This record gives sequence, C-alpha cells and structure tokens, in this order.
Amino acid sequence: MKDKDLYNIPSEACTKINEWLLKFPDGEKKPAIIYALHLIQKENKYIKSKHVDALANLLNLKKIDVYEVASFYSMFELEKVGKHTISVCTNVSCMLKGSDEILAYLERKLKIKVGTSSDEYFLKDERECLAACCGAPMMQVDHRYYENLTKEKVDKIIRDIENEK
Amino acid sequence: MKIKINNKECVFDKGDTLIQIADRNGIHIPRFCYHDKLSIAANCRMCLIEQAGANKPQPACSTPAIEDQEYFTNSDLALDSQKNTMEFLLINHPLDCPVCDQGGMCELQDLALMHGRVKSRYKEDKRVVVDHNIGPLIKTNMTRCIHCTRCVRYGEEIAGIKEFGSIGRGETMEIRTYLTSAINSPMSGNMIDICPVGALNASPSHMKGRTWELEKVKFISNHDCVGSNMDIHVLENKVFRVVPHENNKINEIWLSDRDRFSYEALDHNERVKKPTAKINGRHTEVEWDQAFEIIKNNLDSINSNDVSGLISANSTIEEQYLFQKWLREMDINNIDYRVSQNDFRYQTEEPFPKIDIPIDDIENMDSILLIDSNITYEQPILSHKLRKLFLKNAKINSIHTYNYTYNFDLENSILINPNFLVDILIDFVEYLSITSNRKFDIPAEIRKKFKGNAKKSVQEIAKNLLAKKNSLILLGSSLVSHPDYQLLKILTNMISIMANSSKGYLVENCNVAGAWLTGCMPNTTKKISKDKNSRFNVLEAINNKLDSYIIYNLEFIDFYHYKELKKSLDNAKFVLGFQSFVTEEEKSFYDVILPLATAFESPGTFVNIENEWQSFAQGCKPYYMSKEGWKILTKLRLQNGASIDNSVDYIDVLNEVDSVVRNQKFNMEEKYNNLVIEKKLNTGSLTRFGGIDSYYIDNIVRRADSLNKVNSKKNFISVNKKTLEANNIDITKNKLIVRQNDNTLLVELIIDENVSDNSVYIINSNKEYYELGKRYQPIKIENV
Amino acid sequence: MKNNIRINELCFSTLSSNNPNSLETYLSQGGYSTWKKIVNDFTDKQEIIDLVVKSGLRGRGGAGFSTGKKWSFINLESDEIKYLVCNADESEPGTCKDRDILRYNPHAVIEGMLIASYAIGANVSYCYLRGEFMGEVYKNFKQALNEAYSNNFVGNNILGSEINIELHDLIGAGAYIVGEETAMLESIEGKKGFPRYKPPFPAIKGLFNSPTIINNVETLASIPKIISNGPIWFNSIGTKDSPGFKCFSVSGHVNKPGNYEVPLGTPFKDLLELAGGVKNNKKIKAVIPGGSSVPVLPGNIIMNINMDYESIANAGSLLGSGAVIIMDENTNMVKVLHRIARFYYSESCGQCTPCREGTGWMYKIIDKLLSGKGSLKDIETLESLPNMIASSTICAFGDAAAMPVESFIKYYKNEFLNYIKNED
Ligand SMILES: Cc1cc2nc3c(=O)[nH]c(=O)nc-3n(C[C@H](O)[C@H](O)[C@H](O)COP(=O)(O)O)c2cc1C
Ligand code: SF4
Ligand code: FES
Repeated sequence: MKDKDLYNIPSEACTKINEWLLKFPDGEKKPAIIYALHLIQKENKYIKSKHVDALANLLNLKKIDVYEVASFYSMFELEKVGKHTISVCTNVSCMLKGSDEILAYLERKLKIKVGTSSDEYFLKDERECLAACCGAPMMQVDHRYYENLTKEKVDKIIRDIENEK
Repeated sequence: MKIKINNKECVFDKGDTLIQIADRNGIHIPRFCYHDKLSIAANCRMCLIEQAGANKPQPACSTPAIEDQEYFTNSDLALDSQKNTMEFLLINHPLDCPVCDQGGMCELQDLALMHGRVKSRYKEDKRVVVDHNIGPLIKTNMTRCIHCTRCVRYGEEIAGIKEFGSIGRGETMEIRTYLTSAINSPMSGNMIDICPVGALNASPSHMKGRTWELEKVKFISNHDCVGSNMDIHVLENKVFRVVPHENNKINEIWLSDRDRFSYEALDHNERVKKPTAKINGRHTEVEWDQAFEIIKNNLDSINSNDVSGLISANSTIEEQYLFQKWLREMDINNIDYRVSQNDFRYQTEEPFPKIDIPIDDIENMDSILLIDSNITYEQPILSHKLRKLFLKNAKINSIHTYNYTYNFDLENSILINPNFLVDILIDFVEYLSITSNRKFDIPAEIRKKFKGNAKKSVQEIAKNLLAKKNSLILLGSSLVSHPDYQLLKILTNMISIMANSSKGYLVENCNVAGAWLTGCMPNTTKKISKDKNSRFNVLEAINNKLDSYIIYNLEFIDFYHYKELKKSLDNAKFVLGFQSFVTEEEKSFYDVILPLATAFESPGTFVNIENEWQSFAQGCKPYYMSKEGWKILTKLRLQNGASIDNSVDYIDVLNEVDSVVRNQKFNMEEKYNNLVIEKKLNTGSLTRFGGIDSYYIDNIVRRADSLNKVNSKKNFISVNKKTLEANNIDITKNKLIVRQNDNTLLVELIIDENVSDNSVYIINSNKEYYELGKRYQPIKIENV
Repeated sequence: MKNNIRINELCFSTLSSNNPNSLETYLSQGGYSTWKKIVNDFTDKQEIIDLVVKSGLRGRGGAGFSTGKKWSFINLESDEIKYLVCNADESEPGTCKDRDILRYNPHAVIEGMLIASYAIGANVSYCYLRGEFMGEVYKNFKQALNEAYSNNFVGNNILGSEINIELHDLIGAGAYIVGEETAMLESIEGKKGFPRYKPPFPAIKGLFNSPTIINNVETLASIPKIISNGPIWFNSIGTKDSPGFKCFSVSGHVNKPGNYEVPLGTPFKDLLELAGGVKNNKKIKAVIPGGSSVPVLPGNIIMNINMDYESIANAGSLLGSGAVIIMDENTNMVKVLHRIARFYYSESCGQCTPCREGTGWMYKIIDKLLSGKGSLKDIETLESLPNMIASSTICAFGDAAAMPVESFIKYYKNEFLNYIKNED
C-alpha cells in the first residue's frame, strides 16, 4: 500500500458521500468512511494510500482513522487484486457440502492459488459465512451470489464472465 | 454509599468504578489498559474480580460499584481469571526481559511474577511484529506490545493528535502509525511512560542501561515557563534519561518531549570543558585561578559604567542573584536579562512577568483568548491544560499572525498581519469601552485611535470574554521580540481589566521571574540596587559600544540585536563569557570563557510564571572541568574582597536569595494616563515574522541531537498565495531568494494559507536565518 | 404430522405469492395496516410496548432476550434523541434467514422498524446490512424503502399525522463481530467494529451517545402481525416460554436445505423431515442447533427434543439464531471444529486479550492435531482453553468461540484422540 501520486475523489462520488452524510447527525463525518471506501474500491479495485489520504482530506479526518477502518473490514482490499473477486465460502455449512472441492477446482481452473490474484481474478477463501448456507456450496462473484454450486455451474459462471468482456 | 471489598468496608460515590474504589483503599487490582488519566478501554481483561453471587468475573476498571455488594479481588474466581489473562498475554510475548529497557520497571514482568503460570503451555509459533521508524524519539519493539491501547488513547485524548491506531484485527492487529508516519506531537514521549511493557522506548537511552543501575534526582524543566517537574536518571555521573515527576499542580504526570530529551546536549562537542583565555590572540586553556586573575585585572582597568552584564533568564535564581550582586559590588549597573526584547518603552519599571492565576486554575476557565501564541509547541503543558478545557466545552479564541496548529479547536479566530496587532487590540479596547461595565480610564491617546466600530470577529471574542465568569488572556511568548511588545502588554492589561479576565504574559525562558526578582535589569527595586542613576538596558548597552561585556549563559543568537551585538563585542576591550557551550565562531569574540555547569549539574531554583519557587538538587557532577555558577560567582566576589565566608554552601545562597527577594510587592501599573501611542512596527511592506523553533529555543535544546532530528532542517519560508502574487513570485518554482538589507538566503517556498497577508513566516531554526536579519523587519522575496 | 405443521405464516408469509417482495403483495396481506392504525390513532407508546411484552416475543438475533422488555429500558419521558437499529448483519455461520426475509418480505422489516421506532420514541432508524449483501439484498431492500417513502409510510408528516420518522439503509464491509450490537453502533459511527463495554447499555447510551435499541431483522419483521393479531394469537403458537414462530435455517447434510418458519416447540424430527431428511439416507451424527456459536448436540440427543429455547437449553445447547446444521455419520468432527475455530480466529476483533490470543491458540492446536503432530497434552490444553476465554471478554464472542470447542471435545473426544500418533 504505497504510492506517491495524488488522488482526487471523483465529484460524483463526493456528491454521493455528502448525500450519505445526510443520514447522520450534523457534523458527524466518520460514518461516511465505510461507504466512501466502497465507492473508491469499486472504481479502483483496491485501496491505496493515496485513496486514504484523499478521503481523510475530504472528510477532514485523521488518516489513521480512515486506515483503521480500511484495515479492519475484510471486504476492503489493500493490495492489488484482479478485476473480478471470487469469494468461495468455506465456512461450516459450505464445507459440509463440498466447498473445498469447489475452491480447489477454481484454483486449477483459474490457475491461481487461493488468496492470490491474476490480472483477471482474485480468488478468495471466505472464512466468514456469507449467509447462504441453505444454498451451500456457494460463492460470490463481485457481490453476486451463486448457490448450490457444482463444477459444471462454476464452468458456466466463468464462461459468462469471459463472454461479458 | 458503601461496598465491601475483601471484607473491608469502602465508601464510594455513585458511578465510581471498582478499581477507583480499590485504589483509594489501597487494595491492589492488576491492570494494563486502565490508566487514571485515560478513558476506560476495558480490553486487557487483567482486572477481573469476583462479585459475590455473580457467576461471571467483573472487570473492575469499567464496572461501577453497586451499593451494598461484596467484591473479592483475591478469591479463586478472581485469581484464576487474572492468571488466565496473564497466560494469554504471555503466549505471544517474546519474554526477552533481559534485553528490554523496561526490564525491572515493567508492569507485565511484575504481574507475571505474581500471577503467571510457571511454565508456558504455549508451543505454537509466536507472533512477530515488524517495527517501523516513527521518528527519532521513540524506538518501538512492537512484538512486545500487549494491545492495551493506552498509547492510542493517549494520542486521541491527551496529546490531542491521534497518531497511533490499531490496524487490522484479531491476533494480527498492530498498534502503529499511518504507513510510516513519524510521531509529531510535542508530548509524544509520555507514551513511553504509559506503555506498560517495553514496546515503546526512549530512543536516546535505548538499550544503554538497566533500570536498577540508575540513581534519580528531581529536577525542574529549564525550557519553558511552567516549570514541569521531572526526575533525572543518572548512570555513571551522566544523565541517562529524564522522566516526569508527578506534580498535579503543574505537569501532572506528563512531560514535553523538549524537557524529556534535551539532556542529550550535555556532552555535545561544543561543551566548554576548561577555562580558556585569549593569550596572544589565541584561546588557550588556563587554570581557574589564572582565569580569575585575568578577569580581575581587566575589570579593574575599565570604568564600571562601561561594562555591561547580560544574563540568561534560563539561569537559576541563585546565579542571577549572585551575578548582579558581584557586578553591583563593582559598581557595574548595566545589567539586563531581556536580551530577546526589542521594546523598552512606556513603563519605567518592567511589570512582573506573571500569570494572574495558578497554572492548575487554568482548568477552571471557561473562556480563553490567545494573542499570537503558538502555545501547543511553545508551552506544551499549558496547551495540555487548554486541551482539557476544550474537552470540557470551554471556548478558546485566538488572534494570531499565523494559523498555528493547536491540539484543541478554536471557537473564533482572527488572522492578522503582525503590523496590525496593536490596532486590533485597540479595537478590543474600543469595543469593551462601550460594553464593559467596568470603569477604566482609557488614555486619551488611545481613544483617539478608536475607529468607531470594531470588527465583528473582535466583537464576538470580546462578548465571549465578557459573558464568561472565568476568562483568561494569554500573550504569546514569541511577541517578546515584537517592536511594540510593551504596548501590546499594556493593551492586554487594559483588555483584561475591562473584560474582567485574568491575564498572563507568556515567556520563553524558565526563570524570567527569577531574573526580574533578583533585579537583573536597570530600574530595579531599591532593595537590590542602591544605584540612583538608572543604567543601560540591553539595547542601550549594545548601541553604546561599551568597553566590556560579560555574557552569562547566552549565545549571540539569543539576542534580538544579534548583529549589533557582534559588532559591539568586536569593538570591546574585554569580553567575558560564562558558558556551558560555545561555537568556534563565538569563541573568538571572548577574551575569557569560564566553563559553566548546566542546570542539570548544579543545585538551583527556578521561579515559574505563577511565581512558584521550585528548588532542585544537583542532578550530577558538572561535566568535564565546568563548575556550578553559584560557586564561580562566589569565588569572584571573594576575590573582590566581599565579606563572605569562604566555605559558603549552596543552601546559604538560597537562603540569602530567599530572604532578600522572595517577598516583594509587585505594583502592576494600571494607570496609563499620559500614555503616548507610537506604533513602532509599521514596515509598510512585506514583514518577516515567526517565532523560534521550539527545538532551537536555547543553548541546550539547540544541541539535543534527537530533538533536532524531529524537524527537517531545510531552509524554508511560508507565504500565502495572495502575497506571492502581489510580489510577482513564480509559484511554479519551489525555490526563491529572500532579502533583508544586504543579506540574502536561498530558501524553499511553502505556499501556505495559514500565513497572514503581506508577511513572510519563518520559523527560526538555524543560524542562517539570524544572519539574514531580524524578525519583525521588512523583507523582500525574489524569484531565483 | 408434516401436514399439521404451520409453516411460513409470519416473516415468510409473502412466499405464497409469486411476487413476494412487492409492495402490492405485502399490502394485499394486510401489510402496513398496523402502522396506519397506529399513526391514525396516535396509539400510546407504552401500550405498544406492553403488547410486545405480553406477546412473549424473544429476540431472534441469538440471545433470545424479551423484545418488549428491551424496549421498556428506554426512558420514554426523556426528550433525548433516540435511535432504533435493525441488525441485518446476519453472519452467524449457518444462518441465512434474515437474507431471505430481506429479499422476500422487506416491507415487513420496514413496518416493524417503524412501529418499533414509534414505540421507543425514535425519529431516526437505521437498517445495517452486512457488506456482502451489497448486491441483490441491498438493492431489494433499498427499493422497498423507496416505495415506503413514496407512499409516505416513512419520512415527514407520515400519512398526515405530523409524525416524522427517518429510516436509513446502511452497509457494512465484512466483519462478523459487527453483528454484536455495540460493535454495530461503532461501525455505524464509522469506526472499527470493537464492541463496547457495558454498562452503559445502549438503551441508556448507544448510537452517537443517545439511547438506542437494536433488534434483529426477524424480530422486527414479526412485530406488525403481533400488534395486529394481538399477543394472544402469538401466545397460542409455540410453547409457554417460547411463543410464536421461528425461522430455522436448515443446512448441511439434508435433502432439502432451506429456511423453514415453524412454531417454536416443533419437534426436531419434524423439522428434519421438512428439510427432506438426511441426505443419502445416512444416519445423523450431530447437529448444531443454533448457529456455529452454540454447543453441538449428538444426533441421538437432538432427535428427541423440540425446537424451543428451553428444550434445547435443557439438552445442553442453545437455540441461538435458529441455524440448524446437520452432520451425517461420515462427518469428521475434528475437521468441522477446525473450520469453526478458524472462523473465530479470523473474526476476533482483537480487542480483549483472552479472545484475541485464545482463538488463535485453539485454532493452532486443532490445526496441529489435524496434521497429525498433536499430543495428548495438546488436547488437555485445548480442553482447558474454552473455560479460560468464556465469560471474560467484553462481548459474547469469547463465549461463542469457546462453546463449540468445549462441546466437540466433550462428545467426540475419541475422534480427537485418533489423531494422536506419537504419544508422549
Ligand atoms: C459475536 C456476535 C455476533 C452477533 N451477530 C449477530 C447477527 O449477525 N445478527 C443479529 O441479529 N444479532 C447478532 N448478534 C446478537 C446481537 O448482539 C443482538 O443481541 C441482537 O441483534 C439483538 O436483537 P434481538 O434482541 O432482536 O435478537 C451477535 C452477537 C454476538 C455476540
Ligand atoms: S505499544 Fe504499549 S501502550 Fe501501546 S498498545 Fe502496545 S503495550 Fe499498550
Ligand atoms: S484494566 Fe480492566 S480490562 Fe484492562
């Protein structure tokens, strides 16, 4: 998480952040951090120090306050990741239904180790249950739920992503 | 209300936590995260105790007592819980006590002995944390951190600058700064003290000695005007480190970094090690007796009216007293301590440099007006009091020439060019003359300057002062060099009278009050000086090119009239220095230099801004061949035939000072009927202003290695955009030339909207700035 | 017997329609009529709270605390600002009911939030959804909220009554601990999710230092019908101490995993049958009856008990969030515990010593056992750790991490012993 150049939060995002702040008592700025980091991550795929600097500036907060939040929540990526994030839930219900095999299949298929990225994909071993236990095994691709996975289903999902390009 | 702890009845007030009650009753409860100056975190879980009837242990630090309940700190449940927490704390701790600075004074080590399991059951890999450089003062060893978050809370709550945070979560959570940010707070060293383990260490003394080898002596701060109490830890006759000494009226348990780390200067290579005298144009080491003889011979041959004695306001009151006494016994009356002052008008008698209320009373104020004070960096302890006020919702207002960084928020502020400080204070007087119900004779000359309607911002602040019961006005210490300083003081006084506020004139040195009390200036009280004809103040002494100058514990850059001083010294027949440090360049101006022990190496007394006398014992023996000032001066007086006992003791000197000067009446001038207003600062052009870097303020801190690494030493100036444009400066270039008279300096430009219009802000942090010229003088800026 | 079970009558009632999440469906089932009536009559706040107390509704987020009683901790007399927070951070492993309620019946959640806000005197209310719900769930809820605003069920001068209640959606970013109510408050305030120590309790000093009530999605979604049908209706379902319906998320080795909303007190056997029975006709080995934080129960025990708070507690576990995880006879219990322990290790917020250090220690020991490098001593240590963590932390995460370990070793110690090769 190092880089020198400056970042300007796009003006539409600033507007959205300001609107978000309307939900909270006057003068409270911190409640926008999580939302703003989501917006920034959506645009940039992962959060760099210049983003933290820019957000701290925008909200008039200490950088360390923003950084604490960015580093606490697991959805924020602080290292470079691929274009699409694939999170396979491997918590207990999914494990009982074969999530480990799905994960291993994805590793082979995408040729990346879990926890790492190619340019295209970031493969994440989701340790936190994603609340779709009755559809186990499941995964999320860019925040979309895919449930009752089988190898064939995984093939199709990846194919669809490739075709979208 | 009552509870029982371990069957002992304890009384308490509603809301008191169990740990507070236990502490008051001498019942020990182990703790790591709890600290009585910080908010409660309740995260270490070390303080678990038993509440009768409850099946869960209760954290004593965060649990309010319940009337008539019984608690046990030593029951099986309590002890087991504490033992468990201890085992958890130790599994990832490196247990490297033998090489840890904290060893011997470590809360973890102590508690481990009391509560730990004998043998660790943990065989898994231990957590290792990478350390980052967080600046020259604190050396981290974060593998030892137990995540108590005291340091994080200290930054947020006490220092007012959150620099540490807890990054990440769970077992891999790290306490660290943002990326590799260095710590910036001028009070950062306190984190070393509050860290219960050896994770945060004082860099200068890191790994250089063990706690149990140290001797400790109480000392009083010698770098600002509050007189913080501290303990000097001495190892083999050298100051090893400095830590705070609790004094709830002044510094509580805190210490500024400047006070904590300045000792590093003591064995600087510019230290004067032996008496030296100029023989055949070259400085040669001489014996003490020889030096004394040269001094006597020279002074005897010079008319006493042609000698000036100038002494530091950082010297002890004993030295100041003996200095003027020695000189006056020789009929030398040109004595002064106000070397950084530039304005000596208006009052025949210098008002006593004092704050009207005790320092701890600041916490009871509900409104504050700061007049051009960079207080957070110049007087960190006072700033801490203001921060506490701010947290209690008091209103802090400021008029300033630069938007200084404070560790509190301002209610109202006015940014003004230093040329107009007098005018804005007159605006205050004008507004208060209408709104205040306090009668005060405003001199006609000031009335003449009334413009008819004070600025809105002035009105707001004045209203705020009037509306509050306890208000205080503080005049910033760097204004001492302002050409209208005396006028600013008079106006401040008028405002404080009409606004029914207390006031304080802040100063840069630790013993200004001592210098005043002992009469180290012309026109002093009759009790000390029999001389009817008043003599030269420092400015006159320099301008009159005297035959001889005696300079005590001061460097040339301490003088506002730095260059003029050098000329006069060059011209003089005999220049004598009492110095702990001297640069090669300054050495050549002296005929004799006596090696002076610093305050660390001598017993003494400092009188702080609230007129509190604080004496301290000798911290360690004088370094090298230097001697304590009181001894040297006593010797010199003996040589002149003064009738004193040869075997005089330090305590005799203190007693004498005490009986002669302690109980003086200060008549503060409150009538200024015949005041003629003449504003001296009126450059009509770009003005140079800015105080002295807080780590360049006196001859000791200037040489403290680690402190001087905190700020970059590059030459730079700050100017706002509007001013730059008005002066046709190419702002795409980051270098420019500044010019004062015939002197120029190449500097880096910082475009800074915190600077008032039409002025150039320079923090004086090295000699080149002094060579360039003076503050509060016209300055030019040019493209390279 | 299956036919006798009343299913999906409360939070999942809209599932009977083709378009379950639409406002029309909700209105057609009498939705918002309770709220309209309250707004119209200016129903006495205390009266609503009393109704909820009488209904015996217990919080569905996991702790099972009486909802009415919780609301009554709010000082209605004080003119402080008050907040209601809907806990939609659903992340207890095994639990996926709130997600479906939000997807299929968002208006019930909104109406419940409105009634609760009104009852406790809150003018502002937040629904905090876990970050992973950012896609469909969030959009769905947001759309429902917009509908509610445009119909003036929410906002200023609600239905001309001069009652103002703002209702906002919020989104998290991945942290199980934020489901704990005070950690959620911290998160809403834009900080790390570190639970707060209590006292002060949120009802006294909560969000932005103001009195706050936090309730689970299912709890709030149950409110409208409880008010309209009355406490007697609610009491008539379930058991004496566990009245009403409860959503159970049945997952693991069953033929028809899914969310089933049934009366509390339904025999486990029946619930299992609803879920199609154990997959491949295997025998049942173990069941976690209330989310991964509660003690596991062997199949033979749970087969004979009913799904209500008391029965499960008597059997030595907890009903928790109602997540029922079924494990068949071939399940490797050490591996399951390993997975559960890994979860607590990676989700501990790191604030309290016993939890921060203890969750890692437990996980590392189980990991060692699983790799065949463990010893008997390790099992002994592992057995002692839960007790050292439980009850000693700021929030219940410590207990949640401890309970599974304790119970897995209790019932399946042999499986752990089998992993020890080199005895020392
Ligand atoms: C570690 C931990 C995680 C929790 N996660 C959730 C959660 O995801 N959803 C939820 O509703 N309650 C969760 N809770 C319970 C909440 O703290 C709280 O009791 C609940 O939201 C209150 O709502 P209720 O009274 O309606 O059940 C959790 C508690 C703990 C200790
Ligand atoms: S560095 Fe020291 S004070 Fe800071 S959290 Fe760690 S142990 Fe506590
Ligand atoms: S001292 Fe009480 S929890 Fe740390």
